[in-house]
Amino acid sequence: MDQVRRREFQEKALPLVDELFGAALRMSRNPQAAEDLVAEAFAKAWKSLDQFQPGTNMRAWLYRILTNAYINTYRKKHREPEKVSVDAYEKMDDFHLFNRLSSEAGGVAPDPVQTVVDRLTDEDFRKALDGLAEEYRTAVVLYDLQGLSYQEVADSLEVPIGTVRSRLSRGRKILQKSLWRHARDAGLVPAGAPGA
Amino acid sequence: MDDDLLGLIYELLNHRDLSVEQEKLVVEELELHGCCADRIDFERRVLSRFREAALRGGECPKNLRTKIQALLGDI
Repeated sequence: MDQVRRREFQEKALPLVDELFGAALRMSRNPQAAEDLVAEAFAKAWKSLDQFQPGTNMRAWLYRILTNAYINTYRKKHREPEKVSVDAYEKMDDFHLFNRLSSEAGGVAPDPVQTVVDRLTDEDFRKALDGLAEEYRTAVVLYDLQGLSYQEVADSLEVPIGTVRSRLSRGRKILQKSLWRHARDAGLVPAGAPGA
Repeated sequence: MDDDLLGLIYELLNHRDLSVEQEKLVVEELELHGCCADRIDFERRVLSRFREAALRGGECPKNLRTKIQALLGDI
């Protein structure tokens, strides 16, 4: 392996350990699995460094390897049920949370942004994300949280861009529904407000 | 341009995958559907909270980088 590639890998890949761990943790929902996935991704990347084109996007390349490792090793062992049906998603509008807070939490929350979203805890947000079915969660983690482009997410998941868009759309709507439920359970909206 | 308004807002918030011209079109499309600034701000806050929560709940073990460096040395 030539020294240029080794040096580029050391300089560009190692600083990404933290963020790759964060992505792996949100995908796998398990700290030990996340640690294993990141180590596996780095080992695979290092071994196949001759396939990396110097000067291209190493971050996107590493995410692709990480996601691939997750799909091939972890996901297959941990099949999970769909937590929210597609029917439920189809009935939801684009601004589920905003609309519900505006119409049903008005007395409590004249400004839904300040009074409800800010009062939800980090744990509420993480639980909402962790509760997403895997295919939606992975797309949301890669695009919304980690900042990959549509094309990079599509390459990582080995699906067309249209599928990425569709998974993001459904995932975000399900997240909004979940946040509404957390707000209601935490008493941030009137107890009589109907469930999501 | 698709009709996923929430998706359009997220593209706008992320400033990715959009050229300046496309961004103008997105804003026009959102305005056409009555998506005013407060709605966009709301989604911005929600997205920001998700990112903050993920970041705070996902601290990388301090020794992972050392472990990886050792692993690469062994390969």
